[in-house]
Amino acid sequence: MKRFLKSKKIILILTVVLAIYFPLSTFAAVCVFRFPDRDVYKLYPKATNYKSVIKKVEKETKEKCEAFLGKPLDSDETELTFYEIYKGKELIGMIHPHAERGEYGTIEVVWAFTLDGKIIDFTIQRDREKKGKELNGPDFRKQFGGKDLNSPFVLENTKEINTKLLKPVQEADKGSSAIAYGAKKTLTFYKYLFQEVK
Amino acid sequence: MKFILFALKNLLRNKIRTLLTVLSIAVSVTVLFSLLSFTKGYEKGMTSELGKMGYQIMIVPRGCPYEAASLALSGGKIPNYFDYSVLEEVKKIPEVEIAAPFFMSAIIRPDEDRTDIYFGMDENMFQMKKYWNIKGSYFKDENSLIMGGDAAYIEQTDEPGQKFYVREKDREFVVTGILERTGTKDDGFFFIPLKAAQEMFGQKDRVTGIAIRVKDPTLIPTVVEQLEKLPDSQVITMSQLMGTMMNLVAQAKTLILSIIIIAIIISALGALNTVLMSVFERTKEIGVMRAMGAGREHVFQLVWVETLVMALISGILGIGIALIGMGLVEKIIKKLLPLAPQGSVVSFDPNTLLICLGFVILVGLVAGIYPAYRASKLKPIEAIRTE
Repeated sequence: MKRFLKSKKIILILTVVLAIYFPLSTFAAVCVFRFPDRDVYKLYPKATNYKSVIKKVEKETKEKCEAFLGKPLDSDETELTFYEIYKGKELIGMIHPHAERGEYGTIEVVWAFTLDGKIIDFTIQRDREKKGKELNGPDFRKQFGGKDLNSPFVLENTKEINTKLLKPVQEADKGSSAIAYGAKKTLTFYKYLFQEVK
Repeated sequence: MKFILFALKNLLRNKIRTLLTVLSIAVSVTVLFSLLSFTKGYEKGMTSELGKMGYQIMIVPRGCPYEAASLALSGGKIPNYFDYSVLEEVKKIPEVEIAAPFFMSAIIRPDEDRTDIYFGMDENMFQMKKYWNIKGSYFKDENSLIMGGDAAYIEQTDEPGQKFYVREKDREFVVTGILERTGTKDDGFFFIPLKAAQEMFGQKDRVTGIAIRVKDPTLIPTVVEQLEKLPDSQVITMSQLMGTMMNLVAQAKTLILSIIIIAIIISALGALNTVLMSVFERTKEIGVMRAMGAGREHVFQLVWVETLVMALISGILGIGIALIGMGLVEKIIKKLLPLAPQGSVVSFDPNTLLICLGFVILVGLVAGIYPAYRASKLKPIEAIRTE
């Protein structure tokens, strides 16, 4: 009985401590998904619900990702937020918002992909590109549909787009490449934080 | 020491009752400590931020002077302008060391959840911002742009030479410098040449304000007097601005402090009730103590120490909670307060800690007098007879 009471006390203390710290940790989480209620249903018209999953990029995972990409990760890529998309109770896909520097500033792209790591579509939530409209247009976007990590749409060890597989937006090579590299990075994160963990 | 241990044992006889009383006092102490820490931190932060502005006086177009001044400090779209020629008038005042005109405006993109603040300035403003550390250089031409530290982080711009495009105005800039973080609102701004800003927002030869540094701070009143004669403009000194902001904080502080005092009085009554109940429950025991030779002063001391110990535990717990939750309080305040300084607004100060502890001890001492007096007045024989 005494032990039970003691453990109850510990649970109570832990609950209080967690209640105080939980809001801090959610404040600290890196979240660049600015309009989830708009973009989730735009990318997954059949979705009924979504749930965020925060993944820490441990040292080993970081090394694997960097080896695969041939480029170091950004210093703030230590904790990543993914969104599980549900239709009723069924998990139908994933979303990950990702930011890369384009020609004129950051391009924030929201990526939608299947559970086996194939791109469905994307939407740009923030950018400063001159050709921002075209980069977010259907002609450029549809080229990414169905691509996965086995499709070499980014040249190895670079951030450059593979023009044999993807046609960049005219006069927006840098922006197009940044988006393509963002896709590769997103799928790499998914591979090492979800698929290979299972 | 024996008294304290004895008091602790007595308090632990009814754990739930004691815990609830301790918690109620602790919550009041937490709020009191947080409020005092915030006031100190806010004043410190504001003084530091205004000090870093590098000027003592600001002239803004006629309108609400504090609205314009707060916009100039926090960033935003200033709706009023005055003619650039005012600058010549300001420069004629011999006590003025530097007069720096500026043009501030904002582009709001609700569909992207962002507001870009553009600050047009010339080399005079650089003279005032001597503390700035720029990676790269000052403006090279009319297409140059300097990014604040946070803006550069958000735009993933780490090297000068990168391009920047303002879609709404179809204007391209080249980043010539990146500002090292200053801990002020400057970190979020895009600094561009004054003329470029005027052109971009279609307000040629107009400015939204002039920042003035006086040769000798004791000459501020003289300069203000002369500036007030200028047409269509209003003069604000940084000390006035600081005073207004601190007045706003003081008003809120008085209101919250009154609520805290009421909460503390209620908690003190709760503590009094707890100890009084405990005295009633122990009437027989106290009678036995007295019969065995304990004096009235011993009984008084014992009950008083009980209240004191309870208050002290509450105080320590309350301050502990406040310290743990300081970061959270800071984030909430910054979200709610429109003009919070960039740095920390909640500051830990040992004096505040001592004030709160002293206050709670005082509450304990006062709340303990009556139960202790009642206990010491019990007559041994009557007390033993009590069922």
